[in-house]
Amino acid sequence: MKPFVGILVFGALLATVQGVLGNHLPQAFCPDLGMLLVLALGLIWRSAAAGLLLAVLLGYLSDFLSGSLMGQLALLRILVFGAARAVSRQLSLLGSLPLALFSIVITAVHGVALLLLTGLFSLEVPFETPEWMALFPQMVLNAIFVTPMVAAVRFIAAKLGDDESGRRALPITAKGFRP
Amino acid sequence: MLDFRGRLILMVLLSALVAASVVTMAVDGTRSEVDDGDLPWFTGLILDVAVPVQKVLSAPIDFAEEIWVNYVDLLHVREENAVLRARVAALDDEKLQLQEALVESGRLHHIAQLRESFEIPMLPSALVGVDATPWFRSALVDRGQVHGVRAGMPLISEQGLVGLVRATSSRAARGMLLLDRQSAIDGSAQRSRTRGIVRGLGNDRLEFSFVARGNDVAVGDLIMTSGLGGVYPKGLRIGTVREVHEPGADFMQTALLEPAVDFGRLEQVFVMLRRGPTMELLYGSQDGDLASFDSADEPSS
Repeated sequence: MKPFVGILVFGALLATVQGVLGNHLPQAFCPDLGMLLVLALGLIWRSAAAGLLLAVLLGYLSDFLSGSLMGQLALLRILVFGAARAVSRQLSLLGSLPLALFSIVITAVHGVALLLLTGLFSLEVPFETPEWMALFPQMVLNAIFVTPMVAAVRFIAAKLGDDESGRRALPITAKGFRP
Repeated sequence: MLDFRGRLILMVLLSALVAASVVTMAVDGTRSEVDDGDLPWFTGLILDVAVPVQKVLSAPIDFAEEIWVNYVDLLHVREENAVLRARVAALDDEKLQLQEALVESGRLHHIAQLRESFEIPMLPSALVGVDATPWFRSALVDRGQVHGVRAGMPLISEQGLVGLVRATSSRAARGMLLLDRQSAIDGSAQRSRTRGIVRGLGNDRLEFSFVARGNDVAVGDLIMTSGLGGVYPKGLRIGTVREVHEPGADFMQTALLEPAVDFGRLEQVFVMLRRGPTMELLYGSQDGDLASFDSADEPSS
């Protein structure tokens, strides 16, 4: 329970920090800290159900502090969490480079999904506008910040309790193995 | 590995969370058109907590910026410059209002009406934070319901139009900046009176769409609120035309605008404590609101 609450508080802090950063830096050049946090959760959180719940709560928190529709970011956080969890079961994302590459792909998918959802509700097709260009600095920034974010989540989870912390066990089966 | 029961629970939870997100999104999509914009207490509490935290987090950055600006960047020149800029801005506004009135009717009583329309009570407010994601352009301000702020009220600065209050808690409000891709404002070119819609592009530019045939918009033209949307009063500066796109075979033509407000340096905004007639219809009645905007929106008789 403690790591769950700890991550939730950390997410709230990140959301406010993001608001402050955006006030002093060009908004396109701020990393999407909320999305990165959920991505990190998908990679290292052991319990899928608790992680999913956490991802949705963090999504709603971002929705409260954002101009998005209520539930829009929550829905996308489910996508990010699911993708991170699914990919981490198939591929090793231990190093900084695989993590960075993965975050680039996730940022692109997340951005496209977000713009499409926004377009759906505002009844406009967002393909013609130059806002798509905002994806590129986001991809680079998120690739830089994803490794520290994973480290931070791992640290919080490890510090606040062992039950949910640490890397998930790899589902390796050893059929026919006889010692 | 999860057993069957675990998988089932996970699938049910996933379905429930996706359904909840979609439902809240759909409800919120329609809510903004029928509700009063006041957030429920638990949501409002998040805003009320976030605003002071952001103020505290901003304080060291603001302090450093202040030192840089005040002590390094030519103290006296800057102060004098600020006074002169304020004076120029005031004179510019005065000139614009006069031009607006003269261009439209040339009659003195209309100028008086215009003056009346700008006598809307203004509430100074600090912009403490921007959107929690890089994808939307909203801002948090440190004034809320207890200060008389309600959803649907315009946000302005001395440079021009900033946006619109979308949601309020007791001591904070969230406003949508006109840069947001969901923002659409009825505007008109001051020189040629060409009317059109100004949309946010999600970046630092705006797009002005107008009917191509018979209209004239050129680089350097000032685009202002027309007052016809019933949301913003007439004559507020929106931006300056920087690029006009060729219409081609299209019925509509577009121009790229540079916003009048420097959003990168925006710290202080004013909440216009009146809502326009359209906002009144959408958000519910508020005594005395209609009169002040009507004076700006009605054609002179």
